[in-house]
Amino acid sequence: MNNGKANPPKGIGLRRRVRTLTVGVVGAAVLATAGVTATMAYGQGAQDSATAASSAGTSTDSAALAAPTQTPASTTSRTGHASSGGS
Amino acid sequence: MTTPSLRAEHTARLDFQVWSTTATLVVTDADALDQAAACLRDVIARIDATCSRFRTDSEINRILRRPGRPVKLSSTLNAALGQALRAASATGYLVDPTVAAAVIAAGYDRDIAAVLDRALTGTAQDTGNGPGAAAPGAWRLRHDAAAETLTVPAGVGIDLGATAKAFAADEAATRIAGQVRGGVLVGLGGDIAVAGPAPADGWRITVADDHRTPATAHQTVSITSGGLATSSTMTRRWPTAMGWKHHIVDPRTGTNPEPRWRTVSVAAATCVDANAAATAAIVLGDSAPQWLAGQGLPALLVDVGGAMTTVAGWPAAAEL
Repeated sequence: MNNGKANPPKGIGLRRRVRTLTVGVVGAAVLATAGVTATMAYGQGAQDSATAASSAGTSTDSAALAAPTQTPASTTSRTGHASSGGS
Repeated sequence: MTTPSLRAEHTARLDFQVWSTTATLVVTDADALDQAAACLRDVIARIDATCSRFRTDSEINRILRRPGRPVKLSSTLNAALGQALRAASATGYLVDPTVAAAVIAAGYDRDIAAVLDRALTGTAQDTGNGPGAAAPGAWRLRHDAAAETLTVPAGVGIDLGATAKAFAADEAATRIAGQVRGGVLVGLGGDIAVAGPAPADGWRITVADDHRTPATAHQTVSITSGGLATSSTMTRRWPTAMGWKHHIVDPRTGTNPEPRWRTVSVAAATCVDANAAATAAIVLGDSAPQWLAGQGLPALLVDVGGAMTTVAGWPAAAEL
């Protein structure tokens, strides 16, 4: 007869559940660590390359995004010469 | 009597389809339109033949089939690659041309029209569901701009899509302005470059989620020089079994960035710089306004809910 409550696991069943839980927690930790390591490695690679690139005289020398000579102005016109948006 | 809003402007305009998007050409000397159009088409053809990752015969794809040794570049690819690598370095590699494998894994492995067609007809349900992987990093490419050579390590792909369109707009605008009288505006899929003398009230640019859809417009501003570009997660997107994906990939993770901004428009000295900054801002997320302000780049950021933020002197948005 089903009384609506599941019996708590015992013996082999309990050990299996604990093992599964442990594997899950350890696996998640390993994946998280790998992700952080990869991101750090990416950042380190970028930093190293910035140094290497500037000493090698490549096209990334003195790389900086250049601001416009004038900031965009507001306009009351509702029509534009062109549209800028996603494509 | 002529009201200011109705006064005649002596501009001429041409629109045509290219790269599954729209090319727009406007000149202030109407007589120069044909010559300007020929120049623009020539620049587009050169960029397509050298930079396209969708053409097996493109120069960049031929180079990728010969990894590990220096290959001589055409002057066009040398310049386009130089701009891509400069943009990568200037954005801290948030806009990185070696993101190609991740973009392909996301399902963007052919022209966007074909990607959408495949997604909507259900001919490849498993496409775009693969896990992302961090980009190898543009610092692994050995580009000698002076010698016009490039060495690509084996296993590294190159996608110039983040900068090639903007580079083409800059190139075309500069060349046209050098050949004809008056000013010129070149728009390629919403990447705008202007050169030469601007109209009296400047070049009016409507910024929108989708440059082809007026209903998605946020604001109209005017510029007199340089470039204005917009990156958006609302276009070049396609459905997959894992949900919608779009063309902007974070090189650090190889996946779409966390949704924070749906559309970012930036003004800069060139269209390449404006486009690189706009794309980097979408990848950066929360810290994008501070980063853009630090670079002195005027920008409009629209978050996923539609709320607008302006930085570095971009005019406050009025109701359209």
